[in-house]
Amino acid sequence: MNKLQEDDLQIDFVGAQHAMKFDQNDPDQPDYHDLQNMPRVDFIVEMEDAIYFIEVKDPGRPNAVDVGSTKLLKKIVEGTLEASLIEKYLFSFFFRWAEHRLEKSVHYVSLITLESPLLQPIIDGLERQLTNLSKKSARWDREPLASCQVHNIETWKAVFPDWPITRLAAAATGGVYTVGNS
Amino acid sequence: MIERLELRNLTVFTGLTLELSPKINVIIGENGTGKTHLLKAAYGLCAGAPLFKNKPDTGEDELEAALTAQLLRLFMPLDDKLGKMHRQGAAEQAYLSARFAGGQKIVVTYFNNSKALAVQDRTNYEKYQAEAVFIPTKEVLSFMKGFNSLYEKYGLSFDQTYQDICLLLDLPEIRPETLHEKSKWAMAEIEGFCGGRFVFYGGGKVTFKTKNAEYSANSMAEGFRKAGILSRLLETGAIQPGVSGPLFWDEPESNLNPKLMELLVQILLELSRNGQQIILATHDYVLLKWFDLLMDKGKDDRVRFHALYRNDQSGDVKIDSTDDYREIAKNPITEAFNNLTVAHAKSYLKRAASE
Repeated sequence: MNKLQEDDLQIDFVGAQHAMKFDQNDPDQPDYHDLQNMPRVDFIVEMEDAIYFIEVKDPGRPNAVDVGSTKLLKKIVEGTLEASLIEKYLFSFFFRWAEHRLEKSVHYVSLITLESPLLQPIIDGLERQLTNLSKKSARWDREPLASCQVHNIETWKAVFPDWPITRLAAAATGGVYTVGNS
Repeated sequence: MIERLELRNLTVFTGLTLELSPKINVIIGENGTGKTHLLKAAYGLCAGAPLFKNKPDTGEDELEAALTAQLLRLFMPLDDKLGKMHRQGAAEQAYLSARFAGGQKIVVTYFNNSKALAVQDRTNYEKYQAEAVFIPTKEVLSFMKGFNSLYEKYGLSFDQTYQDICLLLDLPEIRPETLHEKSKWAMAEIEGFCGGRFVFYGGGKVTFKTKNAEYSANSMAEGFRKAGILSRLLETGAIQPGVSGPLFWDEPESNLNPKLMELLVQILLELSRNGQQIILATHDYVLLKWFDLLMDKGKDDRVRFHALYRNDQSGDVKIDSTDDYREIAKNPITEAFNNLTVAHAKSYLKRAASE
């Protein structure tokens, strides 16, 4: 069972060796993140050949701007979103290193439910701020940041067709629908 | 191929120097920062090539007269006066200089009241014979029938680039064996995308032919007509990688289907890999981004971005050139997108606060 949920969105990481909610706030859960003040990504997904750090931001949630979305939108206005995304990646990397769980190359994927033209400045901003992190040494045999990607639901579907996203809001009104498949 | 361009006191430019990539140059900048003027000045300085090709013993006076006429017809200043192209308030003379890849040089100057340009340096200029091509912003296939004779007869409000392009499009096709492999490839790609090809009958008559039918060029999408211009320029050898002079293209994106943009960038990159220098001006993020994404350093691609901007204090137009898209400091195109993203966020936050 590799279905993970962040607020209203559920992603089925089909084929993953291990998929965890890394941003786990519930002490009763086995994957509880016990350093609650440390920035972290939402999910960590381990495939056979690579690890994916996944961050989910859902400002495109229908009919509501929730607390998480408000935080995101404020970061966009303040121009701090890119730095905050990089911080989450770095601290998650740091944590997993200490757990001996970083034996493969790492991809960092942010799912942000904004239209493509609105995402582009975030992608460009991240690229600009990742100049040093995107450099690769010839001596490495795995990559600490194999790729840094930002997707909305449509582009996610094109790049990760095996990992369907479901919006659960419709469940309350009688049905669950898979986003982007209508 | 132009290596270096220097412009002083021409229209909006106080003083600019561009080191150009031998391959692709992308000029960006807000309206009024002189993108088109920069293209036209560089194109104007290439005017010696056809002149010396037709008349190798062209004298100094004739050269000055020809370059003056060319600049006036390109810039169309008020009253046809060079002085109206002199930067307002400039105390010194206007100065235009180009250095070409073979070491050839042309430097011309003029004052406020000059009747003609003065050639200050023309080192080996007569040896520069690679003719440049300028594709203007508007497509021309829809109005080129009879355009040339009308242009000669009447004072149409089209600058010289429109007549030049119409004349080039009406040239006959070069022999298939002379056609560059990449030109053939590009023409086939454009034909595949448009679902047919433009046919040129001479005298500006153009139609669009599919497998089973022939249509008026005017009935085709404007973006297709633009791609058709590029295809025809390749077909006539006006653009011949490794042979022709620089290709100037002012806003290739205008009226272009965004899907055609990717193909266009692929073609331009491929032509540049085969020795075609390209200098284009754009407002379009998608075009800019395709260059960034499709360039392949492994294939020795060199895309140089030149950003024109106005200095906050002096108001002077400055230029910032870089080979790395991410390092463009003054990028009005991405700034426009940033503004959109921030405005979107603010609008949602405002809505949330009022609920």
